[in-house]
Amino acid sequence: MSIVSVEGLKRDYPQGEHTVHALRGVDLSVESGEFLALMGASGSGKTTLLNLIGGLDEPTAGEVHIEGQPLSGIKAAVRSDLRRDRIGFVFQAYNLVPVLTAVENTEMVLLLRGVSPAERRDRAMKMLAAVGLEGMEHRLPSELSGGQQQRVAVARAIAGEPALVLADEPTANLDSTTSNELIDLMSRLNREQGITFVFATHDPKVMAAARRVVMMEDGLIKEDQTK
Amino acid sequence: MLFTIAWRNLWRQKRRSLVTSMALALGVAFSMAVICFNDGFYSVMNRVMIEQRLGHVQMHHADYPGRRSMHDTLGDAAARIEALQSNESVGQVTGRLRGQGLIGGDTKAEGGEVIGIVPELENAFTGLSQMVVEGRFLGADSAQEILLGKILAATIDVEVGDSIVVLTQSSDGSMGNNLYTLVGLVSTGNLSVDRYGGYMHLADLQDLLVLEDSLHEITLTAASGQKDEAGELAAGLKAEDGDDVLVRTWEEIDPQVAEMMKMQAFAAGMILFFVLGAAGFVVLNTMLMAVYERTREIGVLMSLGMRPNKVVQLVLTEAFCLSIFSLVIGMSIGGLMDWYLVTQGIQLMEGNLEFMGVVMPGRLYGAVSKSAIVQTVVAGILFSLIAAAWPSWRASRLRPVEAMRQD
Amino acid sequence: MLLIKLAFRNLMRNRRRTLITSAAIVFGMALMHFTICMQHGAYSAMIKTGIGSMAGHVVVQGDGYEASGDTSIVVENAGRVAAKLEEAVSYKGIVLQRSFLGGLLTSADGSSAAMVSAVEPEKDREVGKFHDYLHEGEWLEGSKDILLGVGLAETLDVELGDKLVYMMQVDDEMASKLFRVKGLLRTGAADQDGVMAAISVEAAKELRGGADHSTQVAMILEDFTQWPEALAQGRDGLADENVEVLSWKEALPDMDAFIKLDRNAGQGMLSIMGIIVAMGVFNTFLMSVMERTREFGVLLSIGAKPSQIARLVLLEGVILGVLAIGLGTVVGSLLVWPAAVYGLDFTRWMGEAMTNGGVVMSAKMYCVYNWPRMLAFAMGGFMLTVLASVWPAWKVSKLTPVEAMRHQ
Repeated sequence: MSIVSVEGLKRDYPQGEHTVHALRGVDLSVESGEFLALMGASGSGKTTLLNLIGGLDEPTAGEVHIEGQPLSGIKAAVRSDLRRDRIGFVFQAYNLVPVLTAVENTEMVLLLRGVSPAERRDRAMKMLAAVGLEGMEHRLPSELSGGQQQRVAVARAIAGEPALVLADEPTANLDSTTSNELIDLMSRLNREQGITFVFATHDPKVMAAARRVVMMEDGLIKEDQTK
Repeated sequence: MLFTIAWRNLWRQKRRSLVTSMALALGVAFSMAVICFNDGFYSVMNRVMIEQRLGHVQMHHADYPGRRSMHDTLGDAAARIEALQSNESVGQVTGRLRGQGLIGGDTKAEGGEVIGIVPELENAFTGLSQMVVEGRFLGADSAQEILLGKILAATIDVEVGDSIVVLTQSSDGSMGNNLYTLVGLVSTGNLSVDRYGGYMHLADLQDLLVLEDSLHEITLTAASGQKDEAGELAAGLKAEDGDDVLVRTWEEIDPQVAEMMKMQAFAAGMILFFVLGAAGFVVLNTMLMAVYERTREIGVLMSLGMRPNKVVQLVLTEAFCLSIFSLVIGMSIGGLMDWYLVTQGIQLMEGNLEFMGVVMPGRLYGAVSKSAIVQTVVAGILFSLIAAAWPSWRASRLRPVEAMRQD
Repeated sequence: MLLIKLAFRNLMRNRRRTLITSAAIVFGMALMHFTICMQHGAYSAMIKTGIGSMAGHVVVQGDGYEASGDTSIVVENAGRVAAKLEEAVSYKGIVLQRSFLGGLLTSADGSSAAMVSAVEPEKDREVGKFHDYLHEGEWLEGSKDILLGVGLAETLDVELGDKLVYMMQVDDEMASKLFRVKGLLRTGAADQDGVMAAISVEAAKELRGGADHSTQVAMILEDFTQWPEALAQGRDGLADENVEVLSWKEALPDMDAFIKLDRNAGQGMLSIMGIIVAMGVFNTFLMSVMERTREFGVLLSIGAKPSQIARLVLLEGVILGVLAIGLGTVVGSLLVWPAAVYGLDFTRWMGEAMTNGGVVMSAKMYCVYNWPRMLAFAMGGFMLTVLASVWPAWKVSKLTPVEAMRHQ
């Protein structure tokens, strides 16, 4: 069973007088353990596809299945739970909660699951260590560099042991050294722990590290290459 | 941890949160002070109108109400009182006889009402001896003594120690008069006594009116001291006494007073509604702004898997934290104001204010009760939550994608 | 002009917020106006009652009567004093005499203390309140006539046409007189109806042994507003008499105190509400300014002066104030109208009428427009709204372009 299965996915946005066809019919299948990059220029639909896979948005037509479970036609609460339990997100703009420390941000998903304070604190600390942020656990986002914040975001994304991590332009706001460090980190997590990663990106460094590259243009998949 | 996030979120916009909580605190403090004053006012009304005048239950001759004819009396007064005193469901008992007449000193006289009482009983019931402002209370035995209302005494120009003439129409139709010694002046708060009347020993008045062993009115309280038991008490006594005696609860006797007491709760409710409503508006605006500013963040939380109803909880928790913070400040200020009102009171005017037959002292003191405080606290929290209801609902309806596209 | 348009559009940018803020101001202002008018109506009625039953616009009483209430203190040669007063005051009005007596009324079957007011039947019928209370029977004519409060009549167990003896003490002696019940009076306030009685001034003078004494000589003016001048004239004209010349406020101090207390309580509470709402408005302005910091920075960098931007913010405050207070006043005035025509009936909660500060106040209240006071509070509300924008405007004037554009 694929982790992600997309069929005939379409997404239209009304914009004033005319409609924008962000996705025009996409089929995609992602297996467990893959390290996949969705690439394309702005407007190609990669971010839209990513958001639809993650259940953050709803398609105009077509189906998305996560581990065999359909995303359409389910209640908002169920969808929330799916995101909480099976999917992790890393965003371009880090999107950490500014009033929470690094460890508090990281343990957020576990809190939502109802894990006990001791256990979730323990796990979050381990996650932060795994991403190389030992010693920084009690800093607020405003006290961390861009790269460090992004690492917290990664730690947060994997803290709940999701089946799938979706990363939207995670390196876009980082300099090249930091970007490489981040990509290495995620590669390592993918190899050692078998976490599936799907990126939406136009960073060539990510493309280089990915084992499968899906090229998109004008809302459709143009190429799908596995190395 | 919801509380942690909520609390910390409040202080992201320090000035705004402070202004909002000041508004709420001001509302709470003001409400407390006004309600304290209101309760003080009504406690005087309650004391004079209900406790002193009406008690819980009253017994009269069946024809007495309305006409209040001198002849419609309850006979065997002494025996009745004794029986009631030994009745277990009865708390305090007092009996009163009323005589209309001209009350005069050396040079001046005024029309008024003299009330005949058994001094110990009346005192146990209303604390009348505490209301003596000059001279002393009546002696236990009949000795041709009289107490007059303070204002009446001034009007007829008499002092403690003077002789008072009381001229009345007695039950046999003749005009009778007698001389009494003024032993004290009273200030009861009841206008009809303070300005137009006085008290003497029951036996003395019974003599003057030629109404042996009679009373016009018996006033009772329930043994438990609770006003709400009046109905039960009345029912019990009715069964015992039969038809020529009218047994009524205070609400039946003077329904207007009962309505007026409801006004007390109504007034408090109105104050809280308007004042905290105004503060609630401030909270509403603030929460709307806060939610708007954090649209992206809420989108992120939802993408992490926070359910919509948890988002509602988050916003409501923030409002709750704000209200508690404001309540602490507001209640401290309010508490100070209450303390001042209760101990120092406010001088509203020189002399007294007459309101619905009650003589309000010119300096009014406040009254604080646990229920009033609880009411204010609950209202403060409730209005804050209600104000935050709509913003929190709006927050929960955000779609993660759109939310995160916000800047 | 452009500035006004700009200010208005700025307010409309965040329509919901502006609407909510305005709604609160409108609500508060409307409520204030309604309260002002309701109070004005109730107090005016009370004052009219007080003046009509126990005072006048200018009141002449014996020296010391007001303070003591001693019914033996009288205006001597009342007739002459009345004539003097009429001459002294140039404004149109009616001068009448009244006496207030205590005493005992006895009938065949009962007796009761009574508050007896002696009036000049014809004059009082015109301007006094007692005639309004006439419930049954007829008005006073001769010196043998007496009118009783309905409760009093019940206590004495008398009907129209029955005889009564009235007894009071005059100096050291008992005076008494026979009366016939001519009519019944009803105020609706049970405590009044139970002790109130009215006789003619003639009868009162007979009781006083024929002397031309009355408790009070009162002048009731045609035009209420002239009372201060009339008072001054009265004082001058009667300077050499042994009397006190009082204004209606001085003659009805309890009523005056009650009115002041009641009014301040109501308007005080609404003012506090206003302050709270103003704090909310302050927050709104603060936020709206902060949100536009970067934009202001841009404006500053292209050459706008800080004072101009500050003025813009103030203007927004002024516009909001004008519109919201204006709307609030309109809404309030409209709400008052049905209450002015049909009145508000509080009988269910307060009984028919009650005695406050010595004067009967009916539970059926009519709103009366009090434009001066409404205007004053509208002005106050407006200033409060504008004040809420002052500090944000000041903050804006202190911005430097660089900081502003760096602001997030």
